[in-house]
Amino acid sequence: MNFQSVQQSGVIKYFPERCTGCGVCELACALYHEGGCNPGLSRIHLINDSFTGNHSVEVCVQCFSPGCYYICPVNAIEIDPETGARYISEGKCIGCEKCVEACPLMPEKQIIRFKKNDNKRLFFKCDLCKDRVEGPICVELCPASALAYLKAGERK
Amino acid sequence: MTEQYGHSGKILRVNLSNDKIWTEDTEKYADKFIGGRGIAAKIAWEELRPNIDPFSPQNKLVFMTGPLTGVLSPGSGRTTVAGIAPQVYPKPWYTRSNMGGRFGSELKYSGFDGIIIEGGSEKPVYIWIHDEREVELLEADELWGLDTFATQKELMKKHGKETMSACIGPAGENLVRIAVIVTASGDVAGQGGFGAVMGSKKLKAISVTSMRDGVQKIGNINVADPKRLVELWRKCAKLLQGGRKIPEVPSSFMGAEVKYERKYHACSHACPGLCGRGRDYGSFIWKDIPSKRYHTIESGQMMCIAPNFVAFSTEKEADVKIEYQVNIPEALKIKNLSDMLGINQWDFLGGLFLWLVTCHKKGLIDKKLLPCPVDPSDPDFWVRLLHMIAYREGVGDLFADGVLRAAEKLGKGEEFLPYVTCGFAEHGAGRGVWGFFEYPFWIVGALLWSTDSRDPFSDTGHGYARLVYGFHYVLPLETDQVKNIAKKLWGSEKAVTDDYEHKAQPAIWLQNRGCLTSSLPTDDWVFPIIASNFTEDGSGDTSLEGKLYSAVTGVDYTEEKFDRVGERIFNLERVIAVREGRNREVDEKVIPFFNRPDWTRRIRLDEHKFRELLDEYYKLRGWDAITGWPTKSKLEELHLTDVASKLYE
Repeated sequence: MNFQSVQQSGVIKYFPERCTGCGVCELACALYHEGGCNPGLSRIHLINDSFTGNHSVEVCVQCFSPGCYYICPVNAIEIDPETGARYISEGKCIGCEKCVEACPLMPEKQIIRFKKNDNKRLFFKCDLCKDRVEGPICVELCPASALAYLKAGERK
Repeated sequence: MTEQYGHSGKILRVNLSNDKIWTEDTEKYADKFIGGRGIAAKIAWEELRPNIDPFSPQNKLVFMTGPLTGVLSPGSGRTTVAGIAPQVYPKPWYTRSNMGGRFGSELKYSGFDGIIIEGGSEKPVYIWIHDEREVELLEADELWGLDTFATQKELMKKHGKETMSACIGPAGENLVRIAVIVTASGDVAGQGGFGAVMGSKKLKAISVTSMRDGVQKIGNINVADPKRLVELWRKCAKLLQGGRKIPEVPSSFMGAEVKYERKYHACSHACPGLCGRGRDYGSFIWKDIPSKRYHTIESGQMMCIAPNFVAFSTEKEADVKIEYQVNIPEALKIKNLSDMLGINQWDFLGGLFLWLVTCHKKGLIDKKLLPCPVDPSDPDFWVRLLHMIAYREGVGDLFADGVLRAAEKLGKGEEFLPYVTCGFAEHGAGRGVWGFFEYPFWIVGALLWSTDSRDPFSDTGHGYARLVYGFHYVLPLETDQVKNIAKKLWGSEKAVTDDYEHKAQPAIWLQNRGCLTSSLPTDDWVFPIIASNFTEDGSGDTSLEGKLYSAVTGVDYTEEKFDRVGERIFNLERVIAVREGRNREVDEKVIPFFNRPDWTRRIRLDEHKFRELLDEYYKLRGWDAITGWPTKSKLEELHLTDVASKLYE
């Protein structure tokens, strides 16, 4: 018998000790995906606490077995054959929020968010910039080399 | 309405006397004055009567971002603060300050390019901006009296952890003339004393909670050409960093070995984080440092002048020798305390403190004047002094009005005041501890100082230092490279060599560029990229700011046209100053300071040559050489016709 399991995905890895908290990752992400800048439209979320000196980043870990993918009632979450990214197909999303409930990291971490368009909620999450030749834009532009992109085969 | 690019589109106005809140379109100002410092000047020209009391309800406080704030543009997370500045001595006038952090960006994500505060409240209030252009004026009785860190944390508790606030501490509340406006753990609008202006209006804080979920069009800063902007980012990164990684954090700090955790920190949103590069004044954040003496755990930023809370030593030839070393944990505690109370560190360390210790060594300070020994290696001395100023206790009440006013009242030590002019302490002036320029470079510094309304070394002067010395991200270039760049930019290599010749050209260029830097805004420590260690000839690319502006706004600007805007802003500021009584005589008030011997070769200013240089400066500026006023034709040429007719009516 031929069992086919869900395709493995690449992932964005974060090195907090190098991060300077500049927020370029968020701005680059929103710029690439939305044509403008606002961290609320970014698929990667930076926490910059200058009172404690803690910087951290929240971004989809591209689960081996993605709950969001399985639960979506309209199959709006798709898997990119090239990178393995689990991404939300904007045209298909009906805004039901089931993926948010299924995400093992939410609500503690901001992995899946939504924007509003004519009062309709459109959810989005990291798609590893699957259509971008240079790979994820946050990784490319991070001035501190605090982000790296690991392909599916390089993940442990 | 057409689609806005770069700007959010609205400026918020709040009148604290009658609780009126309204908005106006940014478009009204942006075309001719871009943003930040430019728009602030336009508002000041139209709305601030000259010679008003900075603490009166007639004064207005302008917070202004620009088209690059909050977008993917290097070092762009800055906000201008402007108004009549109580720190200016002897008579307050209009000037500006600016701060990093994320406050400005968050303001734009909430749909506002700026805030203009007018009037004054009877009781403590704060402004809360949230969602998309929702504005509330709220009671601040419970916040009044709190330090700036506690205030911000309290507001985060109330309005969500993403809330960014610009606020004042006890110093601002008590109208200390060197009180600052603070955001995060040490991003401050320092010079000018604008914290006290907030205090006089009983405005404790402005808080912004921009939307993180459900963002609609209003909160999104549209970029006209995203692809081009990414290309430009890469280009800047290459010139600044050459594709290298940020270097390791150095293992020593201010001459001592570092046993504590510290890392590079971007103090301004979207900053490439190049501060430091192994230098002590760079931007570092320190983490969880145990301060034994005060039984606290300290974290926080320490950059620019703040490392001098740790250690300090005057140059060998100094008339009065000052030297001390404070343990890093205690120094960080003192630095945090000054930010928490809201006191201007530059003026405190580079002005008041130096004067106080010098006077003490000269035997001018009466024991009764200070309740503690003048001993900078003792942390308690610092803590005591800061508290006394912020709460106006004892002699602190005098120091709270600025050390110039204090010295005048005490009738002591005026000859030791490390102040260049108009209430601002030495900085890039070739004398004293923070002189950093040798002869003849400080001649450019002298011109900058003589014609500005404040210490010019925060948004204007660092570019020259980057070129002639290597500063910040630039390591020193070859002499020939420096000369070639100077020739290309300013028409002659004499701009960086021969004594008084050809010094007005770089000064004017730097001033015009300084206006643009803080109008876009971006960071004077980064832009203009005048030099680079990653090109063959050492030159940077000074057209980049204009290109970034064009990519974001879609408005096509050549470098030349862009420089004209800078010139327009500088001239408008000059006219505001003229209306306040500024003239050539005021400009020449820098001369006594520069008559002091410089810090390396004891060279003094040649007064005659400097006056000739001023003549040349005015001529190149299109200003009258006798009065120092911009001529009518110059103003008209800069499309300031209405300004010209008012000035000459």
